[in-house]
Amino acid sequence: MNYELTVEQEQFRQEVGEFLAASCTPHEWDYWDLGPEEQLEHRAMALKLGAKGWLGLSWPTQYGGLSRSRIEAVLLQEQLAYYGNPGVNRAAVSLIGPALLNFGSEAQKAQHLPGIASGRTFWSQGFSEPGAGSDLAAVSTRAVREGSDYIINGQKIWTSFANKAEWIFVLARTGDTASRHKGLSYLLTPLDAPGIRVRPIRHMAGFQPFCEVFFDDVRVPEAQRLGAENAGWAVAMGTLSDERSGVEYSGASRRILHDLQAYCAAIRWRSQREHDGVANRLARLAVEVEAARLMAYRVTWMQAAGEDVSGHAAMSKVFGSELMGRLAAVAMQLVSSHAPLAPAGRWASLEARLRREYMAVLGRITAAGSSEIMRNIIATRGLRLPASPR
Amino acid sequence: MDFSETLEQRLLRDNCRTFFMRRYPAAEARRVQLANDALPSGLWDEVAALGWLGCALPEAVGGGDCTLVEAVIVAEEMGRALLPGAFIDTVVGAKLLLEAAAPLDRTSLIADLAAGAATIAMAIEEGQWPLAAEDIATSIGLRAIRTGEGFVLDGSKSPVLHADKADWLLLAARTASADAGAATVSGEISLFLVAGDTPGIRHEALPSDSGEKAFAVTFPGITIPADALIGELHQGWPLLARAAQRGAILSAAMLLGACERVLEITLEHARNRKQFGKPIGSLQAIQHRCADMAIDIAVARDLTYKAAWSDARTPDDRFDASAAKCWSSDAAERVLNSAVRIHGAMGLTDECDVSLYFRHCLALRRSWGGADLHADALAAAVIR
Ligand SMILES: Cc1cc2nc3c(=O)[nH]c(=O)nc-3n(C[C@H](O)[C@H](O)[C@H](O)COP(=O)(O)OP(=O)(O)OC[C@H]3O[C@@H](n4cnc5c(N)ncnc54)[C@H](O)[C@@H]3O)c2cc1C
Repeated sequence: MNYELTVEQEQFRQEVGEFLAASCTPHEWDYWDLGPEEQLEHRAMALKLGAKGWLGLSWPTQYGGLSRSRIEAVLLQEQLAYYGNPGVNRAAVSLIGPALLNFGSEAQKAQHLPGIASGRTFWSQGFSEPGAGSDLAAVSTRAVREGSDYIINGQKIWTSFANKAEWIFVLARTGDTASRHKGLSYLLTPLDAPGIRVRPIRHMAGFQPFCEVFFDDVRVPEAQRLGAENAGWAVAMGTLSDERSGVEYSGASRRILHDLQAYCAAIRWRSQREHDGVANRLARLAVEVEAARLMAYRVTWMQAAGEDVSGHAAMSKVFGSELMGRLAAVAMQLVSSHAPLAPAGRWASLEARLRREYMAVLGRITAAGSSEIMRNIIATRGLRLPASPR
Repeated sequence: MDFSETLEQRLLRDNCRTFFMRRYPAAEARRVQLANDALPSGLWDEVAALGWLGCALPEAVGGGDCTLVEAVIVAEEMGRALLPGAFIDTVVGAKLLLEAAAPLDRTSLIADLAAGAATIAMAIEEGQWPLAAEDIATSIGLRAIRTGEGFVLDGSKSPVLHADKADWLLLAARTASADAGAATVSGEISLFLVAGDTPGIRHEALPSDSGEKAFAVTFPGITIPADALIGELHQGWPLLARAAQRGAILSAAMLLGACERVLEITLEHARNRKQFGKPIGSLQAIQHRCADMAIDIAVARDLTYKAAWSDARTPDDRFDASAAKCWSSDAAERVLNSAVRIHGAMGLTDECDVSLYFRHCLALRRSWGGADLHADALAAAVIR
């Protein structure tokens, strides 16, 4: 047993930290809240990360990667999450990139991976539909063959950043209606293809992180199908499980913890009792933040060893995302029971960010498999309990 | 023992519900929240005309001669309807004026408040609520310095709800400091009633997405007359403590009403939303979450009504009021979180009514003191 990083890993972690600290201040990054200005910075940052080779860190060099280990990849993701994921288009880097590596043809890899690894091309994930959320196999968007093309008709929803990306990967029904997960195909299309319409949806915290995407006779050449026809489910599931360590939650949690520590150092306590109560709570949360990191590292280590991580990855996701919720709740209590520290500047932006995080965190608990679905997986796959009756 | 409501109480509740459903449906609440817009014109006058503002005031000032229980019923229905506005400040302010032996007779103003002819805003907070006498040192900085003609106010209050529309501001200020001979820190506070249009008072609108319009109000050396004093000089704290209890109870009631509606909306969604070929409401993971919401709400209801009932009976015991607000504030957080989660991604959107309640409750949870503050206030009594 050894909890230490190697010298190279530790050096890499520090290099990333220093780079991000230098590139992301004083601007407070907020992954969710990308106004037009931040969007430009986001894209610029993507190019910088791409130039360092970090977007495809563990990918083969021929596709723009650096062939580094999973451990280094997780260290990078953790640091990025701590800074609010500046320049990181997760749908591209964590979802479609690995899917292309695993399931793509040579031509597909050559066409798409360099754009992702360099940070030039942004993607969005077209899985969920109004009738297919947790039950993804209920997808009803249809793709019908016409010669060597597919014609897509239907609707996706909750598609993150579809109004800001260039491409979308779509899970569409190519089999008959009742075919469930056996009749789905995985298709890639540019978002400016004729027949695609995108409508942003407003989040209750005031920004527009996701969209509805409508497909009206959208033509996609067969060459843009990833995996075999009707074999899209395996591609989708591979995509979802491959990169799932939960480290983005532990990295983001650590950031909220640090923000809270800074806030606590600046406020005027009502009483010693209030101070002691909050200190006790923060100490427990600090324990949990460390625990979340260890859980994510363990999943990564298991993945590297080729083990089945489905139960552990689900535990890490539930624990990490719900921990963010607990941190945000404490933050909200503190921020709302103390006078604003200053009307403008650092504290005002911190208060606004904690408030937004408080609302956004519920999305993290739901997205990428809700806590309920994750607990089902822990119980049935991890603990081998019988599935509940369907 | 009797947990039932009287016939009059039930009628009051029904009337409120029908009225708000007609005059302030969710679409109106959405408009008001998202555009930080005004209430539908005439709505507040109608509320006043129905006698609800003054329901807990004596008949002699044109009130309904009822107890705080009736005001809690109205507040609960307002919370359910997401109605922002000056109800709590009106009830709390009018009752405070009634109880204070003031240099001036305030009967006609109290009658105007009950009738909706005058409006009042409580200007107490300076970023955090003073709930216990020990809090005053850190939470009240506004000074009122005695001069020949009266007092000079120096400092600011924030947030003050609806300060822009208020004819009167009821504020707490420090009139003495320990070194000037006040026996205890609570002996430093006095209350004042100041005309909202007093020259020199500055309002700055604060950002808001809850429908409540909030302001920072600054008093840069404002002279007010000697008879602006409410109650006795340096003796404001007991009056303020009573007002804070009532505010806590009424804001707990608004949270209760809001949570009740949120549970209804969520149950409807759980029945209708199908995944894996069946309603998600048939899944025990969802059922248990809904059951927990129901428990949270049932407890909130018992604590809140008990506190309202106790208000006139054991005015010096602050346990019930703080217990009601402490629980309701935490319970509202759990109820809203569950509601959003049961709605899936849709629960996070502006288009879903749950998000309106989420933002509204976030503001209500903190006003008149949040859960931490009330727990703190109780802590001294719990462990001696
Ligand atoms: C911020 C955010 C970003 C997103 N980005 C994307 C994106 O880019 N691309 C994309 O395709 N999708 C995206 N999604 C959608 C996300 O994948 C879905 O929200 C998720 O799959 C849940 O589906 P739903 O919202 O329809 O909720 P539902 O599936 O309707 O679930 C409602 C409730 O029922 C529960 N439930 C459902 N089934 C079960 C069960 N079997 N057992 C126990 N409980 C159950 C759920 O846990 C939830 O509490 C995003 C979501 C969010 C919140």
